[in-house]
Amino acid sequence: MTKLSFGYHFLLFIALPFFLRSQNEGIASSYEKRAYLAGQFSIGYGFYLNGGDLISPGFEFKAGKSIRNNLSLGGGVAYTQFKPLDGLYGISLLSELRYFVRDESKNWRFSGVADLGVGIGGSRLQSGWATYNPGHRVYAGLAVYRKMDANTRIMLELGYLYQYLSYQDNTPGRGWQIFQTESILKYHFRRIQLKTGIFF
Amino acid sequence: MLSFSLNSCLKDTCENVFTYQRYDPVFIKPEVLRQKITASTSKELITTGKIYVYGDYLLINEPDLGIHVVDNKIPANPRFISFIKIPGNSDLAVRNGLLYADSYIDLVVLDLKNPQDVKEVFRVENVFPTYGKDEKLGLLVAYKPAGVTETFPCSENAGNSFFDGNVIWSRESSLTSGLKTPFGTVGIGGSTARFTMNQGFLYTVTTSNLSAFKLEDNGLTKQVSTQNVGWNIETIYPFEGLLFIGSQTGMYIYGIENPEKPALLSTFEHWRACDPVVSDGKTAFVTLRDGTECEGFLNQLDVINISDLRNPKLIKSYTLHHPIGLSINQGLLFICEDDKGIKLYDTKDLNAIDKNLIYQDKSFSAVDIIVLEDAKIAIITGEDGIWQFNYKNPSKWELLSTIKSKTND
Repeated sequence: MTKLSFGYHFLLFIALPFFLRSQNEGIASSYEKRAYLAGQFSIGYGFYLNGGDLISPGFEFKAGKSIRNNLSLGGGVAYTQFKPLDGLYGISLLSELRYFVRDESKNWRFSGVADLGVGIGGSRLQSGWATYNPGHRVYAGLAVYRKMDANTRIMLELGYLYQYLSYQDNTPGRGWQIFQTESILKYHFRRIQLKTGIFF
Repeated sequence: MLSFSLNSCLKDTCENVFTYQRYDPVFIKPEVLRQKITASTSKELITTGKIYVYGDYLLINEPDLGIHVVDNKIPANPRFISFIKIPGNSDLAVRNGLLYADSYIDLVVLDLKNPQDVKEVFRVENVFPTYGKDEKLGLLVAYKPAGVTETFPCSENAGNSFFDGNVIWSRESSLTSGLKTPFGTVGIGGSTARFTMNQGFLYTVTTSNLSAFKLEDNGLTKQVSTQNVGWNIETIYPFEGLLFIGSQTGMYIYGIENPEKPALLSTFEHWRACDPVVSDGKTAFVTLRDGTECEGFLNQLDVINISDLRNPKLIKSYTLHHPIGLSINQGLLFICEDDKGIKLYDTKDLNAIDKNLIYQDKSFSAVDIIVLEDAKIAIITGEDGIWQFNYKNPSKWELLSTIKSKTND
C-alpha cells in the first residue's frame, strides 16, 4: 500500500514540471535565466534508532527565480519517508537558495543549495490514534547540472538533511500504576541524501 | 573514523515526552494515624466530600482530611462551628450522638454531643483495606495521584521505572444520595455513601466487602461479620430491613433479618457503569453513568420493580445526561445530573417519568443530594460547594444558602 502510494505520488510530481514547462515554452527561450522548475527523486541514507542502516526515499518539487547574478531563491514541497514500516514520513514546505558557480551557457554547471522547511503533514499510517504536530527541516548540498537542450538540464545533488517530526500519541494506560494522559514522540532524523531530477 | 562520523551524523534519535498520572504511595506511621482525634476551630471548606445530616448539624467531609461541623439550624444561614481532623476520612454516619468515621484502615467512634469538644471514644483497628506495610515507613494507606512529565528515549518503556512499588489499589472517591431513615436518632446520608446505619448496626462497603458492626450506646463497636459481595462496590443504601448495594456491574439486595450477617436476596445486573441506588420499598431507582473511573458508556436511570425481592425486574430505562446521586421522597425523584444541575421528577407513572419533570436548575454542578422531608429542604453537593433549597413548591424552588468550596473558586 505504502509503495503504491509512494510510486503514484512520485510520478505525479515528476510529471508536474514537464507540464508546467510546456505551458511556459513560448514565453521564455531561456527559462532558467529568470526562473526554474525542478522535480527531484531523492534517496536518503542513515542509521535508525535501534541500530541498522536504512534507505529513505522521497521526492521534491520546487520552483524558483533568479534574484541576482548566480543566486536564485525558490520554494517548493518535499516528501520524505523516514520509517516506512510505521508509515512515518514528512511533508514540508520549503524555501531554498541556490548559488551557481558557472554561467548558464556552459554545458556543466554547479551549485550550492540550502533549504529550510516547515512540516505540513505526516502520519503514522499504522497508528490511527496519533495526531501530527508540524516539525521542520534543514538541508544543505552540492549539485551538478548537465545541459540536455536549451532549457533542460539533468541534475545530481548530494546533501545532508536534518528533519524533526513530532507526534502526539494518545495510547491509553501502560500498566497498573500509570494512567497516561499524553505522550509526545519527538523524532530527529538525519540523512545523507542523493538526489536526481530534471531542472528547467 | 569515517564510520564513526557517519554514525554520529546520520543516526536518528527520538525522545518521548511522557505525561501521565503517577500514583505515589502514602505511608503513615501507626502512632501518627492513631493519635487521639479532637476538634479544632472551624476551617474553610476546600473540597466538598460526602455530607451527612444529623439533627441541626450538617457534617461535610473534607476528603482525606476530616469533617466540618456546620450548625444548620437555620438553613439560610449555615455556620461552621468546628473541624474534626481525621486522617484518611471519606465516609461517616451518626447514631445517638456518636460519629462513626473511617480513618484510612480504622473505624473511629467520636462523641459528637459537643461538636466543639469532640472526643474519641473508641477505635476498631484494621477493618478497612490496607495496601501493605513497610517496616520503616509504616502503613501504606493510600496512593495519591501526581501529574508527572518526564522525557525518555523512545526505545525505553516509560512505565517500567514505576513498577517497583506496591500493587496499586486505587481508593475510589465514591459519591452518594439521601433518604430519610426511619430508625430514630441516626442521621441521613446521601445515595453515594459507603456507610449506613440500621437498628444498632453500622454497615460499610469497601470495593469488595460488606461489613457489619454492632454498635453500643457507650461507643463500643465490634465488627461482627464481613463478606465478599463482588467487585467495584460503590454505595450502600438502607430501606426498611433491606440494604441496597450499588456496584459498577449491578445492584445487590441484601436482607438483614439477621442484622449481624446480611443475606443476599437478589442481584440485578447491568452494563458496566457507576450506579448509586435508592428505593421506596417497592421500586428501586438506579442511576448509571459513564466516566474514566466508571469505565462504562451508559448514562441513564433504571427503574426496577422490587416487589418480589428475589426477582427484581426492569420497568423502564430513561436516558439522562450524567446522573450521579439521587433521592426518592414521597413520590418525588431528585436526580443530580453533574454539570446539568438538579432535576425533580414526579414518579406517579413509572413508565413515563421523563414526561413528568417538575423542576430543573442547570445553574450549578450537582453530585449528590440529601432531602429533609419534614422541612422540605434539599441539600445538594457539587464541585463548587453545597446548595440548600426549599422545595415546598416543587415546581419553584427557593435558594436558601450556598457554601462555596475553595477548590473551585
